[in-house]
Amino acid sequence: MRLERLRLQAFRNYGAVDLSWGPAFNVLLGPNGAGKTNLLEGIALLATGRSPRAVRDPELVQWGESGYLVWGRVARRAGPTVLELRYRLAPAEKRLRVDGAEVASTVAGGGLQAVFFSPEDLGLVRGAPVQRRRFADGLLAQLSATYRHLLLAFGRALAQRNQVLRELAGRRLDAELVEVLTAWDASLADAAAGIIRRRAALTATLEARAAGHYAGLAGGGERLGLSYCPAGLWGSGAMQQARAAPTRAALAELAAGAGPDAAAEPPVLRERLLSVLEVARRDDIKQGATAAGPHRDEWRVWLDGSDIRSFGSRGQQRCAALALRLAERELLAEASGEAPLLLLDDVLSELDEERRRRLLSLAGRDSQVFLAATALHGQALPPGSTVFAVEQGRVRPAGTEVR
Amino acid sequence: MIYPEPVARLIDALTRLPGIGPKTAQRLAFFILKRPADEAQALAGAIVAARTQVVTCSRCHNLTDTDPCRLCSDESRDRTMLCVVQEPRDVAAMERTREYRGLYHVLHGAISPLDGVGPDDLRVRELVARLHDGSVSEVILATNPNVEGEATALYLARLIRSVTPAVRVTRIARGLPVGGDLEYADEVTLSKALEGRREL
Ligand SMILES: [Zn+2]
Repeated sequence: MRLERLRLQAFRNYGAVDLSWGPAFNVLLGPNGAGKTNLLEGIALLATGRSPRAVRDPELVQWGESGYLVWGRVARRAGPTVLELRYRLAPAEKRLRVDGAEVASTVAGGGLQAVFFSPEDLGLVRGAPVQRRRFADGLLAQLSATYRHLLLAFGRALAQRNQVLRELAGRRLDAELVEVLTAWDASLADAAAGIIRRRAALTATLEARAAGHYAGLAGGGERLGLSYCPAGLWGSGAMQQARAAPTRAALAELAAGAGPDAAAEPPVLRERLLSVLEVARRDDIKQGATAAGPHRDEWRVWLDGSDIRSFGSRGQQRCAALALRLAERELLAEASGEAPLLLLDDVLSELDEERRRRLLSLAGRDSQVFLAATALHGQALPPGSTVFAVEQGRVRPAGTEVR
Repeated sequence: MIYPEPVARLIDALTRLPGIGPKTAQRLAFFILKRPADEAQALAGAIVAARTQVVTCSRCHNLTDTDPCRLCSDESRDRTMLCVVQEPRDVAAMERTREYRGLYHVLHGAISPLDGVGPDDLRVRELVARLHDGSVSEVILATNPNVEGEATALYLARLIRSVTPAVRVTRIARGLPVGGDLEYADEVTLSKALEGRREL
């Protein structure tokens, strides 16, 4: 698929911009803070409905404006599509229109797919669990409407359950309110079971693909591994141990005793989730929050079975993050039958020349690429590349590379 | 902009209606002002008449102009079946099927702690009271297929089983629209239908 045109209004530092893109390699050159990343962010937003920088919508609106517009014309194999994402600040409202018709969910509903590579991707490997959850959710949401539905249902059920917990904390055990809590437990477990199964299935595919890309990028003999730790099935005690397990073997041993396989049938998962919620109920009421569930899931990343956070070098960690992104690209391409857009935000400067070459050759294979950089570090661009100069919220075509 | 006081009051009243923002309220107000006076009279009359003549049925809690309502007093309805719905409009939807011949019970909402709505704010006590005389043998829970509707159904199912264990409790299935091609059914509907599959 190709993004042919992009319009931004009152978005970040862009008052109004209307750009026609090249079909293959687009390069955005400019100093830091000029607004290169904002352009990539706009494209990603159109694809996934949310900012890849995990920023909330109000912060995306240009200062003093009442909302933003991101508009794009996309060429897909099935034909051209026009996507229009509008956000209004007050009262808050976000709408996505596809060819003029409104779609129910703004999350990944328009058929545009994009993978965002950023220097912060190192956090996928080194950072807090929430970064890996966001990665898995973002990918699954682009792959499946059912998953988007499950996430919304789970989020809603969790908020409702937490509200009941807070109400229970303030008073003596109220039998009727406990019954209400039980109803929300069941509702929560329903959505959670679906989320857990899909995350488990994703982990298996992701691990296989990412390991392949890691070998290609890093060149060494180490094998990249990925383990899924479902908090809802294991409970918070076992999760604490899982987060600290020093090796893959230690985690596997722990997992065997911690609960059923995350890929088990939904009724098995549901039952287990309900019993974990039951055990944690008193603590949950004390905390006014639900301790165990998919919102506390974790993934461990291994290099030859050891924790990459403590045993991997910075370079290995960076390759692992890139490998996860390349695996994401592959899974999206397989699902839609078309190569997703690649948004590369300042990733070249972090890599040595050999890895830079490998990444660009992989990236440029059949995807439309958007590369943001302060300088090209002597990197030769593929023939037919389109270069844009970005400065202070202005974007100017700077010619076509013919080399 | 400053309007004459009666106009401002009309706009303000219209703004309180669900789904009507200030701009729409202004448009509606000026539409009403441009039409002949008797049309405004008729509209006002219809609003007042509906509000004063419509009550909730003391048995099923549906909206009605006679108490008990026509459905509750219809002797040909099956009094052993009770269909529980969230809103009066859901009764109308069920009736349009012409398939269901039992009685109804309208909850007037769903359990939603975030909105401060608990069982006491719904017609739950009234539902339990209706089951005590033993005439109802099956309760069909037809609350909405969203998170709140599901939780409400789960709550009611447990409650009914504990107070009147002899009553059968069922939940309407979520399935595929009839007459539609499987290939065009949306993914969410399809996976729900798959989950609710049964032996043939
Ligand atoms: Zn009635």
